[in-house]
Amino acid sequence: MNAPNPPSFPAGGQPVAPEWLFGGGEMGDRIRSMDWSATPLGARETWPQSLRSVVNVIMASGFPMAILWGSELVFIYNDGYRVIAGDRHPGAMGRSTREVWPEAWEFNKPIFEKVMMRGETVHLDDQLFPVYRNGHIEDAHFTLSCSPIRTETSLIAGTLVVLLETTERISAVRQLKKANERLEGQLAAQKGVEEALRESQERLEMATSATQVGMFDWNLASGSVRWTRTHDAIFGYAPGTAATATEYDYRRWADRVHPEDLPRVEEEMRRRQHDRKPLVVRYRIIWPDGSLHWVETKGAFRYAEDGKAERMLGVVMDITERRLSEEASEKMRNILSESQKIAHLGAFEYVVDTKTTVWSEEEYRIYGLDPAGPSPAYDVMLAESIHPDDAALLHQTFAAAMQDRSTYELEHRIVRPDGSVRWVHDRAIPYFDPDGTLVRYVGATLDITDRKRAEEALKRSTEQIDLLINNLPGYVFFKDADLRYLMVNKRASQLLGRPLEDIVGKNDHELFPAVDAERYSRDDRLVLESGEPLLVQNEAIEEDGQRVIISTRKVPVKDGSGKVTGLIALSIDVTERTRAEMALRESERIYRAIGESIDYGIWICDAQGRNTYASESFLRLLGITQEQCSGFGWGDVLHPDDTEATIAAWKECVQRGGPWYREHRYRGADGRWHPVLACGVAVRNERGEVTAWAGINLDISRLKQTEESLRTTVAELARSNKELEQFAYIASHDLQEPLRQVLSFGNLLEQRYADAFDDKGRQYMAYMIEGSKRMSAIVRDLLDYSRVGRGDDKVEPVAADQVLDAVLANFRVAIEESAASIVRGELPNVMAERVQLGLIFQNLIGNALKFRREGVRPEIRVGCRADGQMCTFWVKDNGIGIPSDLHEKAFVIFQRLHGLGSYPGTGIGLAICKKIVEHHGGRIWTESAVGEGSTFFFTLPLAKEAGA
Amino acid sequence: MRDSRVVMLLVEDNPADVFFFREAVDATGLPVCLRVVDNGDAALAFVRRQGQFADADQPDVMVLDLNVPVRNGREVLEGMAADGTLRQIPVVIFTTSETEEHLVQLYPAGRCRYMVKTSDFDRLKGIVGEIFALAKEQGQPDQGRSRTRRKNA
Repeated sequence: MNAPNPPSFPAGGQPVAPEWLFGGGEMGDRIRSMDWSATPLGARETWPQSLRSVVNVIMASGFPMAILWGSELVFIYNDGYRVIAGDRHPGAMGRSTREVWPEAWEFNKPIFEKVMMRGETVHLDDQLFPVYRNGHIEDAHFTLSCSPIRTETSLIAGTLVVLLETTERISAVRQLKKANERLEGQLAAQKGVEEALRESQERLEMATSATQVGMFDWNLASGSVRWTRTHDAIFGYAPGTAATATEYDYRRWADRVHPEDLPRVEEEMRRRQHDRKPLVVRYRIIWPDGSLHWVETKGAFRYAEDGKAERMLGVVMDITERRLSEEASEKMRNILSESQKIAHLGAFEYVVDTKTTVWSEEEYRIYGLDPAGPSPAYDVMLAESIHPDDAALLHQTFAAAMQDRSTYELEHRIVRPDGSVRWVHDRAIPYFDPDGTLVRYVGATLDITDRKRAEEALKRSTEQIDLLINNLPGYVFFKDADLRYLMVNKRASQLLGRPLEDIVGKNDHELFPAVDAERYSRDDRLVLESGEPLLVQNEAIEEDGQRVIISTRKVPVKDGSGKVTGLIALSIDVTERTRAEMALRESERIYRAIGESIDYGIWICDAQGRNTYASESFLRLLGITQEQCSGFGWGDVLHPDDTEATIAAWKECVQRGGPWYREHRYRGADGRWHPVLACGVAVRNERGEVTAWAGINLDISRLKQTEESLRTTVAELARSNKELEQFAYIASHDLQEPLRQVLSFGNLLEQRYADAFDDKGRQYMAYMIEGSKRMSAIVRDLLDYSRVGRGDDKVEPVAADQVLDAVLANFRVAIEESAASIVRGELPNVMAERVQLGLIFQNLIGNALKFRREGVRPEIRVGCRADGQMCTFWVKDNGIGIPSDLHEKAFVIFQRLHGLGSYPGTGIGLAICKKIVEHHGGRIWTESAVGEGSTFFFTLPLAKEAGA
Repeated sequence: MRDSRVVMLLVEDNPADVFFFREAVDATGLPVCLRVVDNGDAALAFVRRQGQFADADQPDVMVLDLNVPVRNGREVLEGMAADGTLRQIPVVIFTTSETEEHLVQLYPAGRCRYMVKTSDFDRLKGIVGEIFALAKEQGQPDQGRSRTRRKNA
């Protein structure tokens, strides 16, 4: 053992360590050239002597050897080991074993523990390693020896691994086959070389027995089979004595094959032989002790030159254990897979080093991925399978868990390739290596979508209920069986003027005045004891100083077994409703009072015509009660002559939707028929549908009587009027003759015998004639007056111009005498009786001439103006005028405004005019002032142009 | 001389009116032979020369008051209008009323006049003159025939 050399310092100040490693081929060069300061071992110069020694030993060895140094098991290997390092070479040098072979760590860990902790040497026989040789990877078997390396102080500082390749032994079968082929060739070439064959077979036999492989050579023609002792052992026979194969009957094989498998195996043999393919078949055999064994037979057919199969050469192996473990693990896998599938429980592993994941089938299924595909890398999974909103959270949570070396647990969403979103619950536990390094996470994923949805639905529904309760137009109280508040809604909390926290747990006595609390508790107890809901109506409470009327419904809350565990009270503010109801009742009282106060039988019936209300007066008329009226057949009280028509009219009215208007007769309580006027209208709702009918049944008996008597009176009046006019006419007509007689002889007397009288006598005679003349005028005017409206003439289009011409002609003398000027406009045709129109002009022009002012030349203007259907005529003079207060009076019959001495007249003229104008449907009036003349207006209907 | 006289038949029941009319006729001095009956029946009998009037002169004109007893003036007019011979005789309706003028139409055009009675003596004289003229004008063609008929009777 060389003590480490102290560092020497060459000129220039740099220390140069003397080289301690010599040779070592490629790996030696690598160790020397590598910068070890970056590795856990530190700079090569600082390595302990023990390490240096071992390194020198392995570098000098041709066997594959490696050192695992320190707690990190830093890896150092020699040239022989390179084939085993494979693609890890040359990077493996100087790195932790765990890093270099993470996948083998689980396997390696206990081994190294044994070596490093307990100082044991561990042998592992025939371990399979993939090795990189001759340009490709191939399977190789090695026997390992792992032994501790101790330092100078006997502490274990590393492990020395020595490998011995056993591949050749393990692949004896392969070699056997090759040998057999060689043998076969030799047999065919020179049958006589028995010795060589035997040697060869013996060698092979030894090789095969070591691996429990039986060999056979089956002569298909003779049915005999030669097989080795191992073959006997596999098939449960006492081994043959021959060192090489012994020849047996083929039955020695068939006897042992399970009867259920034999046909299948034979069939398979035939088929393979025919297809010229090698045979591989597994089947059961039964040993004499009854035990069951699985064997595998592999065989190759040899064919004669004619193409017929002559022999089958092959091997047989007992595969029972393999089969059993395969079955068991298959079964376990199935169970695990099924249970995971059933539980929607996926399993995953995350390897910290490589950041790779390994997934179970169900994990794939949960993610909606193909189980045959690769496990996605962590980054890929985060980007593609985790819900974008949750990816950051997942990463954070997982990173934090790794940081804390704690359990990772998270509920998050994933997105399947089809876009559907699922909720999963992940939980993974960390695994550490012996020195406490975090190696991986192993965990399970549970699909909790259904639970999440249920939770969300529940949450939504709870939110909705909260929203509902807090927005109810009332107070909601939840109480437990001890009548303590569990919860109240916002409005109730406002009513109590306390926050919810201040209410929960309290009872009514702590929140309300004693009187109220006592009442509430009494009602509550009623509900709790009876288990039945309770309605408490119209309680008055105070809210913000306002009197509020509430109605409360208290409902027991029961548990699953029906036991009352509390109650819910819902109080609704019914102030408005109560007020509205009262107003409605008041309004109904008023309208009923109206119905009763007037003698109109007020009625209301529903849309079908059933009476729902009839006022007292109507019920009294018919002598029935409201009840009788509601179920009434109107046929019972209607007059038989009216029934049919009324029913038909009602039907039509209902179809049309009203209004109802009908006059018919009812038999009254007094036994008489009462004429009744029925009116009504349909009452419609907002949609315009008829919901009821309302109206009156007016007893019009009195009205009818009045109408009748009025009609009689009118007729009588008309008759008496007629008689009166007749009388006036006859009277004035018949008066005319004697009057004229008086006047005739008065005139004659005056003419012939005036000289026979003295002055006085002549004066008498003059008065007598004067009186007679006046009377004659009155009688004539009266006659005219009474003739108006008698219909002597017919109403026809009359040319007013012509009528005026005639009248003016009559007045020719008077006009000349008074030197009056007549100004006349053009007059139209009017609808009138010709004579009567003449009378109007006669009187008006006569008056204009008569009432002229002393010393003023009369000026008379006659004109007109069309006014729609009517024509307004006027006769204007410049005479004495009429005081305005006498304008109306001027048209009254016999009304004279002047003494006979100044302006003689009968007082009938304007009355005649008025009667005529009105008879023609017009009117007459005057505009006049004293000293300014008078204008008389009258209107008459214009004649239609066609008739003019 | 007799041929130039006009026979007027006055149908009037009021003696005062007859008297006043006669005064007026006299006052005119016209050659008028005034005959008077006091009812409608008599008037028709006169023109038809029936009964006591069998030898009466055929009147040249009839002066008819409407307001006469038995058959009134209107019936007389209708009776005469219905007779082809009698309706040759001109008629003057002479009445108090001013409103019966339409009756004129019952009679052949031009042979009937309507005049309202008057208490004015001078006006009455004028009316008598008009009646005389009417009789002259309308009666001319029949002068000979009426005499012939009288001779035949």
